[in-house]
Amino acid sequence: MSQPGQEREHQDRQVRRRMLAFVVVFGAALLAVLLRLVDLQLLRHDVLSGKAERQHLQALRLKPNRGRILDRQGRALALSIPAASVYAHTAVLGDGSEVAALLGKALDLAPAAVSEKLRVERSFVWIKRQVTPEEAARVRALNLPGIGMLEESRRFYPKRSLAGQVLGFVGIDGRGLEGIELRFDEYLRGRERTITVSRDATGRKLRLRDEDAADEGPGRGSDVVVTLDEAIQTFAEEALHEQVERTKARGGTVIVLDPGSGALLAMAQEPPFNPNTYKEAQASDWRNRAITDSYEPGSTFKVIGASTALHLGRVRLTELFFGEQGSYAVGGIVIHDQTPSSWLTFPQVIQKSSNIGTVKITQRLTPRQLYEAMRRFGFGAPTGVDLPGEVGGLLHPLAGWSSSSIGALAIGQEIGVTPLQLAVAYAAIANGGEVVQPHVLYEVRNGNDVVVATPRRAARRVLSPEASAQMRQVLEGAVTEGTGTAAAVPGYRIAGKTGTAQKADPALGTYAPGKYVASFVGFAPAESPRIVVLALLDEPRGTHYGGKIAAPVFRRLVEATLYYLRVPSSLSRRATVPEPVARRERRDGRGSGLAGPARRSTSAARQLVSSTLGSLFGEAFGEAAAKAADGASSTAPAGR
Amino acid sequence: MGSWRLRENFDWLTFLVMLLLAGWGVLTIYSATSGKPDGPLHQLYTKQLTWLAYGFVAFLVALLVDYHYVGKYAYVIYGIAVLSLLAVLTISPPVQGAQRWLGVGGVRVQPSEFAKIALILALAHYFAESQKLTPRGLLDLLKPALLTIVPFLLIVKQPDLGTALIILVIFVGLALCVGIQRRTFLLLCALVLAALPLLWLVMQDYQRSRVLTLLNPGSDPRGAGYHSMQSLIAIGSGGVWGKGMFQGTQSRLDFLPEKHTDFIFGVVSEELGFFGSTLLILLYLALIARGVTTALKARDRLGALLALGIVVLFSVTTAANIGMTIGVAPVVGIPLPFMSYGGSSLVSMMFAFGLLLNVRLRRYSF
Repeated sequence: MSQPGQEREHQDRQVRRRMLAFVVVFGAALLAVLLRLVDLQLLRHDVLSGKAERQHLQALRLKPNRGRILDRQGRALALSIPAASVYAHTAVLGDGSEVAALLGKALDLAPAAVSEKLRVERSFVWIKRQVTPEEAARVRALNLPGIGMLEESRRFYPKRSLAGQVLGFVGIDGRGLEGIELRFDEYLRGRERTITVSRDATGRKLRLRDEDAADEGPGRGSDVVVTLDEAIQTFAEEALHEQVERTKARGGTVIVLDPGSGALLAMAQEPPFNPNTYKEAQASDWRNRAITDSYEPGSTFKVIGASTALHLGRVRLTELFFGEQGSYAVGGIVIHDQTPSSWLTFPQVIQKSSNIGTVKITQRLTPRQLYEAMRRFGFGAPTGVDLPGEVGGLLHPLAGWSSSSIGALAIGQEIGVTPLQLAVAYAAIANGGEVVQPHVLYEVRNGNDVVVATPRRAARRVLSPEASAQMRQVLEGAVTEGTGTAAAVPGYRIAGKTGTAQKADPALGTYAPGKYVASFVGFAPAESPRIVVLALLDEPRGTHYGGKIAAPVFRRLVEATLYYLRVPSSLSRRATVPEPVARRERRDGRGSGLAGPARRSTSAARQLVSSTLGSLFGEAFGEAAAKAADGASSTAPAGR
Repeated sequence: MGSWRLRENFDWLTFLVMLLLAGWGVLTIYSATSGKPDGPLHQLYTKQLTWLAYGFVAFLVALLVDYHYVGKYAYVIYGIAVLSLLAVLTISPPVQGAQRWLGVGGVRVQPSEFAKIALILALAHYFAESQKLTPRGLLDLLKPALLTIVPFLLIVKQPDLGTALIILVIFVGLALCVGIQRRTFLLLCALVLAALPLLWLVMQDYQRSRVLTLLNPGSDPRGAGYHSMQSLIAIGSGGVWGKGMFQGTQSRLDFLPEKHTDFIFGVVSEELGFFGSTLLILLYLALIARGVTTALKARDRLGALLALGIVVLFSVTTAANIGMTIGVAPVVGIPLPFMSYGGSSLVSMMFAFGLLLNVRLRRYSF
């Protein structure tokens, strides 16, 4: 019994030893596992983490909602609305030809173009940006793996082409490309944020990581408030558009400027440009020609030399100048007057727009005096307006002047000016003699906080208050009894100057026959100017005189704007207030009959005034004002 | 069999660690499948909880019925297991090219999981009954080898090479422990070496490529090596402390394949880092050590061999799974005991641990 018992015990010990051997072997295996874990999780952690992150993390740049562009009254001129963008994770798609066909149909794209994008060697590729809600719904319904959508925003200009060239536009990636959108892009765009999203192995389900979700969403870009006024801009565009249509002009420009501050109230341009569809427009149409193009100003420029002569005391208002019966040689060239005259006073020279008289006045100055005055008025250099693309115009340096230059410059030839430069020069006459800084930025707002206010800009004096006052009086006369009578607005004292310039042909270096720029620049009310208005028509057909075709635009716009701004009538300021009716009769008596087109224009102005503004002052006043507007329209012989 | 004995001798440690692992498993399955709110696997953890309940019943049955009684029916149980393996091959439709499941009353079970325990019972019963005291020769091993070969071949046919190899290891482990002659041992080793090229020929292409990628991990990261590479990335990116519970990016975003089943260790390693994976390994080690002492302290040979067979099954399965997950063993479909999603694996392993604790419970009884 004991023998098998001992044997059995021996064998049990053997079994025990083998089991312990098993434990040892397994312990060694475990140690190997732990070493492997040390290797993977401690030593190679960084490398493997990097691989993991490259797989599931994707850095995405989130664009904050672009700020709005508001007019001075807070009306939105540009805003951003949400729009989805469709992307693909190409790694998931494989062949993708079927996907391309489906997407092409849903997004209105050529399937070939879609396949092209799907073949890109990146994991993430945009298929179509900023799709319409209908397109987004179609893509959602397809529910394709590897195809997803991200919320982006799309720029929208609710007033369509209103101030289109001033506003500019935004490219597909949310960067301002022209106009205010470009100039103030930094504020409008806001702070771009890069966030990391994770995706699953099939490339779907992009989601914010928790730490990013906790962070506040992408901030909004700041709102840019501009000095433009939507109503005045509308008046300007309507008045200009109608006249361009009527005169079949190539285009036109209107500027409304606050002479005191330099704030631009309106900048209108024909042909119009709708930034909502900027891709369909020609590049020449989105250029803001009021600052990017210069032209030979002609008679509107006469005030520069004349007012400087007044300012420097080289001439008195009462002085008489001999008209030479319409022909006068200066430095080898002969200057003509349209209407030959004999003796003219200083005011009459300007009012009748006598070239010979103006040259004689300007000849009282030395070339250097004229040159420096022009520079001080702001010609030959950009005004520094806060809009992109401004040019400085063309002003020959003194050294390049010929003996006839002073004569040519006196009457606005041999010089290229931008419409804005000229408007600013007239603002100096209007505001008492200071050249102000033209600008469109009113302020930048973020929520209710004003981030950037328009800095106070230094003005520079070019005329003495006395000289500018005298010049205002002279220019008022040009409207009451000179070439600019078509600019008169009943109830207000208006000052301004006509201009009709032949266009230079840049290829030939000579004047292009039959191509004119008709313009009128002025301000109102003359006794205390609130607005400077420049109206310019490029290559009108038929009548090309500024006094005939540009002055009515001016009148219609000034009339609407003064009512809109509730500027008190000039009549109410006089010690003895003449009746409006009496004033009307006086004008009627001098009027030389109403041309058909002018008649229609007047009716339109009347309609505009009574519909949009009459309510402000009461029906009766609106009607009376409109009647007055009817009667005031008259034309007069216009000179250059 | 009074309640006093149950309370005194019941191995609470093993029981609690087992439940802890199973609970941890359910949590990890939840984490791995809840990455997508509307994912198809979202409800798997509740299924696993149901299986856990079934497993607890199996555990209690295996615990409370005296293992000697169970041993008497070892061959019957073995026979049922072999029959069910045959049934799998004859009547069940292939899933992903393999026949592994059997529909039983609406649930799918994997007979191979239960066959492993049936084999342990049969072999333990055989070795315990044969009163031979000297080390066994080749002829002595013929009968147990036959017992092993039948389920082995049936499982190879499914095909499920991983499980089949575990069947072999159970036989080798038990045979080594009861003692075999030195020359028999050497002969067997030579046989195995000779069989290796043969095995290579039998293996399917995908199985060969898995072995090859083990030898050269970077060779085909998007193909055969994809599972392994993704597993290493998940584990490595966990670092020391891990990304946090329910924060694993690789597992929750589907980069880690089979994350809730075979690669669940990768999920733990990613979310809880070196700390969590080491803790998990220590828990498994605790179960193995406890199992070895149970085998050593068993009252009789049947108990000792039964316990030993279960420890071999448990430890080899665990080692193979973790080895595969950390990229030192070929990728074979072997689940991590108690953790991986899968009813058959959980219920059979809990049944096995019921038997193990049964042996420990009755070590002093006569």
